[in-house]
Amino acid sequence: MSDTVTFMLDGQPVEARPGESIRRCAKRLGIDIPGICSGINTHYRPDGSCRLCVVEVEGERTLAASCKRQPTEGMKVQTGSPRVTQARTLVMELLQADRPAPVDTPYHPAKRFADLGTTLNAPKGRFPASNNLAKPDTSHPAIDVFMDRCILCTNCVRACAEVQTNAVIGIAGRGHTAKIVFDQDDALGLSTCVACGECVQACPTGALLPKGLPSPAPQTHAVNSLCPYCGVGCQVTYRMTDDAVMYVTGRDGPANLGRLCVKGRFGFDYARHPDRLTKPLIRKDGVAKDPAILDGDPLSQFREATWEEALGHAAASLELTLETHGGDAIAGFGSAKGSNEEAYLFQKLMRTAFKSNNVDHCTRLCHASSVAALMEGIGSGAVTGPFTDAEKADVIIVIGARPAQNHPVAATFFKAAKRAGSQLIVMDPRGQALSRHADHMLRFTPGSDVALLNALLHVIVDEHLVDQDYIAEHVLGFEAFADHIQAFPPEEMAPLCGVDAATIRDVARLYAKADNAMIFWGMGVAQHAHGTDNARCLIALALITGNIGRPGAGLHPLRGQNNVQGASDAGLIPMVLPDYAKVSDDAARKRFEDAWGMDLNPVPGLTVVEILNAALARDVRTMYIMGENPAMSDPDLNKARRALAALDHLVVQDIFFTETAAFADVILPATSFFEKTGTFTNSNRQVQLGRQVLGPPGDARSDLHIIKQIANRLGLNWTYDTASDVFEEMRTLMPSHAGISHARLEVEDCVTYPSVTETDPGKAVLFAGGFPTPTGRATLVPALPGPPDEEPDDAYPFVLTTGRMLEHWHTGAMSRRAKILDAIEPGPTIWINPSDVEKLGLDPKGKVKLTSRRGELSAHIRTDRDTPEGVVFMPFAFREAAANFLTNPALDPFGKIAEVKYCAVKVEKAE
Amino acid sequence: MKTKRPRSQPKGRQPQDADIKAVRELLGDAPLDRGHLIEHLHTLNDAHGHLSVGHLSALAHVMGLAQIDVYETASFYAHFPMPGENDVAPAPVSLRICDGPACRMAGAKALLSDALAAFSPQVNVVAAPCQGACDTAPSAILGHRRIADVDELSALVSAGNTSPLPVAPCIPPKDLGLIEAAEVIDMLDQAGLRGLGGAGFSTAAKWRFFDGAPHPRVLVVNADEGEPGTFKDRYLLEHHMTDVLSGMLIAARALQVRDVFFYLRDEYAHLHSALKEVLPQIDRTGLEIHLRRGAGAYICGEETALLESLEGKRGLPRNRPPYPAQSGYLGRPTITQNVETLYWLSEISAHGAEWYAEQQRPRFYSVSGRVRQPGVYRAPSTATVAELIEAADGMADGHTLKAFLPGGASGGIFPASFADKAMDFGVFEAFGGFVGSGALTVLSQHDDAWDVARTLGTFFAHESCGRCTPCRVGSEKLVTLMQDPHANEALIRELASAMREASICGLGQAAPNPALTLLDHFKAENGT
Repeated sequence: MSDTVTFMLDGQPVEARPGESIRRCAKRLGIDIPGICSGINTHYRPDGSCRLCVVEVEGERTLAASCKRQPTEGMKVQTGSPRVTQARTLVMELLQADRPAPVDTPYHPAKRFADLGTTLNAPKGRFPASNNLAKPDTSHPAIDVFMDRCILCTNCVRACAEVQTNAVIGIAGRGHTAKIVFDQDDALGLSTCVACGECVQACPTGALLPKGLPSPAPQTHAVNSLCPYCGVGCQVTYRMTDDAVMYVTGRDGPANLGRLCVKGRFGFDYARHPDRLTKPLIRKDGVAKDPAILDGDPLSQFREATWEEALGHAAASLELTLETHGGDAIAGFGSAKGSNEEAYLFQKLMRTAFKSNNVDHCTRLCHASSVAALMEGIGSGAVTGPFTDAEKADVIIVIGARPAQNHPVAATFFKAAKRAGSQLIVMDPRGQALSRHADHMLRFTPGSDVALLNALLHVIVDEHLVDQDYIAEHVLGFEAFADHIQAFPPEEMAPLCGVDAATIRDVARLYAKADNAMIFWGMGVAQHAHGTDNARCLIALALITGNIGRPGAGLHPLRGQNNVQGASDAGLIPMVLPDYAKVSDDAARKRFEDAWGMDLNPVPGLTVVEILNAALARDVRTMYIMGENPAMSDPDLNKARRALAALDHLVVQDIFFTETAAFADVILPATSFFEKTGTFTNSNRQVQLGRQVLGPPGDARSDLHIIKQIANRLGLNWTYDTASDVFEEMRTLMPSHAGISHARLEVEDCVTYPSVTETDPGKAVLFAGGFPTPTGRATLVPALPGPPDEEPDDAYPFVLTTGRMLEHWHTGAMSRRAKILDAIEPGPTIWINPSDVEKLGLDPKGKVKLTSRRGELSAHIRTDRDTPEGVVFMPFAFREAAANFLTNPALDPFGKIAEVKYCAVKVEKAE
Repeated sequence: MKTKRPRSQPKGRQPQDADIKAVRELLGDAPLDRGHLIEHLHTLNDAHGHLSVGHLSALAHVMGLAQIDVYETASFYAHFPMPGENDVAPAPVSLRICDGPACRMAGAKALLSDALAAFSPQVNVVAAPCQGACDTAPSAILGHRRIADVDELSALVSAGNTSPLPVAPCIPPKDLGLIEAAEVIDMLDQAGLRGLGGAGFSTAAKWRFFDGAPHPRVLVVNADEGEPGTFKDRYLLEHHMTDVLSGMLIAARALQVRDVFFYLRDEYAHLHSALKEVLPQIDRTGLEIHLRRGAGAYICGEETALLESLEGKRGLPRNRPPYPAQSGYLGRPTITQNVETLYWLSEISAHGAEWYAEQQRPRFYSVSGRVRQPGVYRAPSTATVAELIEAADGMADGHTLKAFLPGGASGGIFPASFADKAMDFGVFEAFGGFVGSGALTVLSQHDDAWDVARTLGTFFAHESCGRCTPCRVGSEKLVTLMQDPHANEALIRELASAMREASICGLGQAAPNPALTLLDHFKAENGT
């Protein structure tokens, strides 16, 4: 990078930083040069096309766009000379010509052009009028289009093409007839738009607006907080009127740089849905629990109660079980949607009031296998570096993850990295949004992950592409591993995994020879009976090539829920206390026993599926479920629901009457993300502050308050008043979080852990110097390829794979009650390859029935080229056709995660 | 219009199997990188006479692009008819009738209305900007066939004769292998060769920018001759193709490029056939020569717009710096040379720098309009307007010189009193014009100079890429203001000043020249 440059700005000598444009430099020095195509959206590439920011450079024939032009040594620049002002004012006059009066909207980004117009105060009405023929396009559920307001600043084009890399918006035609279009000049609602809304936030004119905002604009105020959905951890600003969120804009957080996806931007209104639970409910006397109740009106089986009665009932049932059956008969599911503080208190309650380690959450259905492999291999279950480091990687592998759907903002970094020159390798049996960006798209046979990955490892070892120095210094078990991997040459693995040997060799070389390579993975790796083995292979790839511990080199399991990382950190898992202190480790446990003032159970508890199995076996009698929905999310729902129905007592604390709540004895109405303050930890280990935005509806109470009330009814005498109080206790027990506090987050908004002191900025990239294992080294663990637990046969010839979709979150409790998300994807669909539709003689507009050994359902067909032949896909968010009725509860032996990514089904035309 | 998305498929239009198959068959094993997008659009358009929504969506699928990538690019270029899903597709054969100043003088307007009446809709009859055939005005192109004599039009249409007429076979030039760049640059310096595409930039100075540029480097041959009134590159390729290609090879070797892109305007289909035949015959070890077709966009003659077009994108000029010599085609160091410049490079190499300088830097002028023998004339750079008119056998019968355009559409309009000025770089600049590509269009007492200016204004508005505000909005407003130029003079001047000062490229900067020169130099005679 070159040094600073000295030049004359309006007669004053100034220093420009390397790479700085004239405009940026001027702005830094307090001179605001106007502009509308550039500079109004942080992180956008300057375009230099509106020509409002022109400046005079001495000796040049024409004016220069200061947003693009970089100063050179000795250059003399005038930012406000008469020549400049004249041109600039006329350009504004041209931009305003033929545009309608500014729109009166509460949407702040839409006012920027009008505000600039006021500032520049250009003459009006001098130029002959031209027809402005653009008609409004209101076809999209989330975004309205008023192109008569458009000034072709192209912020929306860069938003779509470069910032989000969705490539829907562009410019058609040329000259004065050039216009913004979607796809092939399609209505937005019929286009490939994924409704991230980046363009809406980018547009300075109101040509693109969130649907249905009031006009005239009411008074609003802003609250900075987070998005409640996924593990990316986008920072947002909620724009409020009174007690309602009016709209959301992306904030410049480290994980999102102002970007959002459809859920974060348009999915916030579930918090005010009429279905919200607002009164404690108690099951009516004598009404039996039966899985069939979900088909009727389960709410009718409950009566309203006071908090006093409901809390008393809940506490009494827990106490009764404790006395009659012991603490191990009690189990709790906390939630990765709750805050760190809630997760901490919930597991503390289970472990202190009942001495039960039967406390788990949806990480079990998610990355439990990844974490098992990571703990075993490198001694830590979290990511080694942030996903934003993709831009520093020369090679990026994305395997078993569909980030454009499930981590859309993380995906923007992958796509941007690819555009900036990184090589992108995508491995997924299904085609996906990243496919067309990939240098290598490996659509391997479902379930053959280990065969494929072992073949890659074989090539690296066989062709001596390993990093010998790194292995010598940091890795154990290489010799044995190298022997083991001899058995998996790509030529032999190719028929198993469906990827040709030459491609496997190319990809292996590409990865191994990269200066820095990063691996990202998701549920496609984890949710298998061999999920831990899959992850072991990925870890081995990084270890034998030394691709770990540097910016742009590492391992990153993309975490699903907004706080699945934090909930695990806070000890919401059966084997470990907060900060991964093993319950079975006497010294580790003792720290907590001392702090909490009592003995703790040294035996690891049961995991999610094991708990429900134990409930069926009547070993677990009573459950306290906070914010989880196993009656939708667990495999083999018929069995899971029978298990819930078999409980003596079930206390459910939630914001909606979920499928799980239907099996409850007591339902405690809790608060949504918007109604409380707390910390949330994203996939990058970034601890961020979610601030309260709304008051709780009706008689709903904060989760922390409810947990405390139950604890105190069980004699624990807790005195926490606020989330901050809880966090203060946590940081004394969690060395990795010692440097973090609510007060610090109020100022900094985000701190990456580990952060051991209040001035420690935190470590984004871990393990540069070794691993948190007893030897300081990582261990290679060989994996053997094996078939999935249940393979297709004549009776069930198709593979069913399940997952999420862009609009719908997990079991749909939140997202299906968000009006816009529901409008975009209102019901269940079964995705099937067009040639299978034809082969089976199905009506592409009709319904199809799926049957597995465990259940059956039917839903509408979605013909989808990305789904391979012989495979069907189904999102599991839809209660009316819950995919988990079909899924296989077979568990990975290490992570105890179920194989929801693979089971055998029969596909038939529905009646 | 249907506005609800069907749930039975993923978001947006899905490519159909039949379209995918059709597109794959047409493309064969052609490369699928984005740089080939415009070539592939031509392939589809040549086959069907238009680009259908289904084919565009299938093409995007096949090329791994988004629909918008394909649609944006296709819609930028005038040669791609793109009927909507509910529109009737135009006839497969197009008849493009030139709308440029020289052709208008020769009755192009009547030709257009006659052709519409006679052939539409069986033939897709459209008006088109200058086709580089002012010497045989009025000009028309049926399919790929250039019509030298419009009287033959009916017969050709009935015969469906749309293939280009062959040109004389070209003898491939000899590759001279490695050439020392410094020697060539010195030679060019001595000769004083300047870029003859219109900018007149010193070729030696341009080449010096390449000193130390990283590899792989790129040379672009700009054969997108589009300045109205200019047809000398066509003439050179028709009559001296070997010399042009020889110049190209000298440049390629001296500049040590790996790739040469020969970007030929789509109107010159007859030359495309010849080039397609001769380029592979050139011995070009270590050199890749790519022949690419323009698609009806004047702006792609601008070198950075041309680079965008080569990359398969809309032809939007880039902000400079960075200059193409630093970051050009796909970010690689790139030098662009006009056809005629390369011709003279070859001549100078053969005859020496002194020879060229002694002859007063000869060049080829396109002379059209009201002269007896419109055509391409070789003359020294010092030749005056009057001398060139003489070279063209003087004014046409019954016409006296009233005004002239020294540099196509962009170089302004000057009264007869300026005819003693040399058609050289740096002469007309002082009066608000320039000679640019050396296109002299001659007007007589039968022509309305403001009418010509309005025609040119409409041309600029039509050809503006639409990227920067002053040009996009300004060029269109200017046309309207020119309806009553004297009443609007103050505003025209204000607008013109902003367009000149603040437009990104030469198009917007020069678009007001016709109006301004008329206001400046014809006021006394009231412009008519």
